[in-house]
Amino acid sequence: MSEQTSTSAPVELADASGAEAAVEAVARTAERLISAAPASLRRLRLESGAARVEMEWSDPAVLDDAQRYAQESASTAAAVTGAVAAGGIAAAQAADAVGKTPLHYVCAPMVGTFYRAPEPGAEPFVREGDAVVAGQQIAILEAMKMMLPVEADIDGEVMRVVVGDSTGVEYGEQLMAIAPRATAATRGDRS
Amino acid sequence: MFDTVLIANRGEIAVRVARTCREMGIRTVAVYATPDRESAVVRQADRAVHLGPSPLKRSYLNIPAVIEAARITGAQAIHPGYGFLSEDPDFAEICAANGMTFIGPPPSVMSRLGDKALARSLMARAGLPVLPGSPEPVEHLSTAQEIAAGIGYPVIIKAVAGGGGRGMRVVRRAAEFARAYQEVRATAQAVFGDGRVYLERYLESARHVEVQVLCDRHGNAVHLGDRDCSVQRRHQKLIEEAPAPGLSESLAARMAGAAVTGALSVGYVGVGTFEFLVDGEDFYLMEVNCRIQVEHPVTEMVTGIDLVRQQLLVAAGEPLTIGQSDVVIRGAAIECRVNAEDASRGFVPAPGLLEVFEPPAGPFIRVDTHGYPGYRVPPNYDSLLAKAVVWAPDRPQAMARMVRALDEFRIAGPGVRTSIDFVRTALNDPRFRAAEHDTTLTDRILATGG
Repeated sequence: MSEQTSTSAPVELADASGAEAAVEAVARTAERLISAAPASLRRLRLESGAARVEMEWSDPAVLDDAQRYAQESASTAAAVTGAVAAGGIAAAQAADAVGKTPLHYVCAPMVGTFYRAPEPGAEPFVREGDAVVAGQQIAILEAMKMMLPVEADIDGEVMRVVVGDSTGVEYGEQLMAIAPRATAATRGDRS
Repeated sequence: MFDTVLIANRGEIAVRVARTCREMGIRTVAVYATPDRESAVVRQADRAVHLGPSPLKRSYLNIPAVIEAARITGAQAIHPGYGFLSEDPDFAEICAANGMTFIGPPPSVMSRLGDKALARSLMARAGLPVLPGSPEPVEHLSTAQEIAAGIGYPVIIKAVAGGGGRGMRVVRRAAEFARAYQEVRATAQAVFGDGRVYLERYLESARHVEVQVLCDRHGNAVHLGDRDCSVQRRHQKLIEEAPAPGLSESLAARMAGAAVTGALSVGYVGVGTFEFLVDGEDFYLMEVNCRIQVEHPVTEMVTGIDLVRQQLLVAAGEPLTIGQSDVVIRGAAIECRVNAEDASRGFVPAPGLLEVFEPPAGPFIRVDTHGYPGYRVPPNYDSLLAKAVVWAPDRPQAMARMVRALDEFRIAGPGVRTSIDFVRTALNDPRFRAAEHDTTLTDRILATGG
């Protein structure tokens, strides 16, 4: 089995006298470690008693992998999600996939809840018709209170937001359809 | 009772758990990694959620993904099966923190029994016999060597966090100790993230006998008899049977009593297995497994008790409706593991497309499998493909029935090999037939070329 590498850093906090001091020390340590971490945090474990913090963060290569999978699976997406999305999550993207425009789909890099906006009631990150560039945040996925930014992986135009706000999504599920920039240019929509 | 249960596993055990859920009117949620998208449980479950790509840490061991899958689908409980997250106390805690029931013992019990060195000392304190060994994990080579000399060779070095036959090494001579010690530590650190090891006297020719226990949350505990799992290759079980043949009644009763005492002493909840080594009329605790076992069907066959159903009832907080006197062992059951492995080439995995897959059938035969014709066994995971289980009124008839079942079992496909021929050879071995075998049987068979 080829498991992705991850780093975990157990930090012993000796003699943390009193719960408050311990919690404060834990928070400080966590803050320091999160800012030093090379990628998004995957797991955090706190223990009082002989206070102990364990953090685990994933390899930054993770997202590339998910997106690669998402692209590979785009053609078979109808079959796969058809079988699994009985809850009516992703419905009819097949038409787009085989239709006229070769759309690019940004897919969920993990299981979680999809949010279009940074907070309830706020403006969505992007709307249909917006131009996006690779690396631009277009949504949030929440898993166990962790917020994972979802970024566009190509330049182009948002054609369709496939998933509704606050919807649970599974790994590889199509979130947004993007018309790649070259395509958009040939259609004369943008220079 | 739960309305929806998520099954955080794959393969035959996921199918097996889903079956009982359906019988109980519980909706099932399967989760799967990309290579398992065509798996049997994905087809059978009411819902299926794609967890992630093939690496375990991104799929079956990805706790946030499993928890979110349960949340999205409204599952109130998670059945972890065996392996994967089944003995991870962190996962059990996280389930509880997210308002979901983990189907297994309380996290505190799991974490104490999962530390094999601690489990050993807890059980010794509860009065269970253990082999001579280091009272706690050994940190330095020189200390370890001293302890090994005190115990007397051969000794076995075991990882505190080990399991499933991994993270242990037998050392027969003092000169080999240092190297083995360093290697087990390094492996344990790499595989389990915990390099601590402890030592125990190694019995060269013992039998592996285990006792099934079942406990509820209200302090009730029963045992469901014993199983013999002595036919192993490198600590991987190949053939299991219930009841353990040839045990004297008093020995069986002492072992069962010890298991129940041990379970009650730590506040065990759910189904659990106390693994013992049996040497003559003596027995010694090896470890306690806090999960459903691969070989649980043989116990189900001789007791008539569905262990997964019991797990679900106990997890839902129900008191046991089975008293010790209700547990009656009838007849004999045998299980053979059918692995997608090539026994003639050192048991290397031999996965691939199952062009032919015809499991045996007929009276008193049960096959637990996720295989079907046209299924492609992925190379990514465990090689267990099917468990053939038979019941008969006595052991000789059960053996004859199992041979017949294995003869009927047809599996073929490009590159696909199975362990069927090897388990049949073991089954036909005179030592096995006479129940005079021990854990060295497979090595002896392999050494003589069958």
